[in-house]
Amino acid sequence: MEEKFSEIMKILPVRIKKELSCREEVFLQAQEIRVRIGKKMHIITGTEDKQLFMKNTSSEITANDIREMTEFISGYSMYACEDELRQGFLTLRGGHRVGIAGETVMENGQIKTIKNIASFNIRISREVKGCADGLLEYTKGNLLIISPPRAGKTTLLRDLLRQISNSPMESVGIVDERSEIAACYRGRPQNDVGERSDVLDGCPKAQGMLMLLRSMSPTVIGVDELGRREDIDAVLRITNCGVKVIATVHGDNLEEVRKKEVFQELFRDKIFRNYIILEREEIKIYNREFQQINSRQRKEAQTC
Amino acid sequence: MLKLCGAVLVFFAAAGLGFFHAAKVRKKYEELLYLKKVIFMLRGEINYNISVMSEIFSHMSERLRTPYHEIFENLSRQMEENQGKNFSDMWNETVIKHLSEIIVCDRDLDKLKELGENLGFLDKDMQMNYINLYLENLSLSIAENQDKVQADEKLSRVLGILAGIFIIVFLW
Repeated sequence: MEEKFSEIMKILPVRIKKELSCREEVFLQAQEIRVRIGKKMHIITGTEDKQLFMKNTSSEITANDIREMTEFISGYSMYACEDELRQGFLTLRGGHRVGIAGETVMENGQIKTIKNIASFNIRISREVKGCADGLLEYTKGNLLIISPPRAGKTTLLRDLLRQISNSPMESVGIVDERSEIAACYRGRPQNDVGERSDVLDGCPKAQGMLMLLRSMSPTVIGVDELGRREDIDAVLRITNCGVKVIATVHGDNLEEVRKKEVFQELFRDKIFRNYIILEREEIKIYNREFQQINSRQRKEAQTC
Repeated sequence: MLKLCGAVLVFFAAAGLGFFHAAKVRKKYEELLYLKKVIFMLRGEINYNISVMSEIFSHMSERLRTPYHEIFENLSRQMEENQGKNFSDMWNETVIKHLSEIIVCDRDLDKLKELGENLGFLDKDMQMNYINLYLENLSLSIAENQDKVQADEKLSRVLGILAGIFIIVFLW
């Protein structure tokens, strides 16, 4: 079994772990593992949603299973994870993320914590080193990566930042609001983000970009999933200071993203030198004038 | 002369036994007081330090005396290794197993076991509530024991002395 799945096995309920220890192959293709109280576990691969049937024990997840998983996921210290709980997820050693759903507790209109946890979504971290090979030339100026969900924009961003960071005289600042790029566990990146990267983990993007600009003198700032007005303001501000930005946004194509009100200023001022559009089969590259300048078929390693 | 020396020896042996028993009674009581100090420390670490349990127990073990030092060191190591046991099992195998030798009252031990069942998976407020509830119960138990300990101590000493005198009179 791959080393990284041992971290996943560690957080499963004891009775399920015992039975699965001899059926390790079920995890090899997994992208997500869904655990819901009173239901069977689901293993989601790229193309399938498999229910997990147990031979010697009940297949349904019990309240005790959820409690055990809560203990394992939080390192027996749920009270110490309240900041992460407010975000709705925890990051495990190895970079895997566990999304949590249950009863939210509100205080002063803000989510304070989640109690009576009922579901976990374990998202298995997959680093694809080399998936940005041949795309580094487009990082000479600001770069925007556009793709629909689960098409690999974070994976591509991570590898671009890793490759830039491994070049001399570069300094990469990463604002990792949802711990998806570097996947920090107790402050240490679990994914390879290169030699010269500084990561602000769990920090709101806009604040993080300005903080890195002030504190770490980066040559490049990497940020995932721009979307709010303040993110755009921060991008405009740091590009005015001569720092390159490599960012991603959700979208099926360039036209769709250009129509969004929040991004108007970025496109009008032609802030980005290049745009990379990730499609299922193809990668398209556009220039500042929104003209396609290159395209290539995606290799197996460039999808995730 | 020989008889007198024997009598003195018997007296001191019996009185010594009485004082020894009194010291044992006092030690059991003091163990409860020390346990309270340990739980206060745990509460403080959770409340102000906000580190994970394994770090807390490791940190506490450095500041505590035997057997707490070894118990918490062992518990911290087990948690770091993550052998797939839940918290209450590890708590029972380390804390309860070893403290059952020094905390003899079943009720006190049951309360400590109950505390272990409620550590680790709750949010901070609930965690604090459980620890505070346990501390209140422990304080009650200590208060109940306080008068009893004083009486038992006195009784042990007096019984030791009287037993010595009785044996001397009987054998004289």
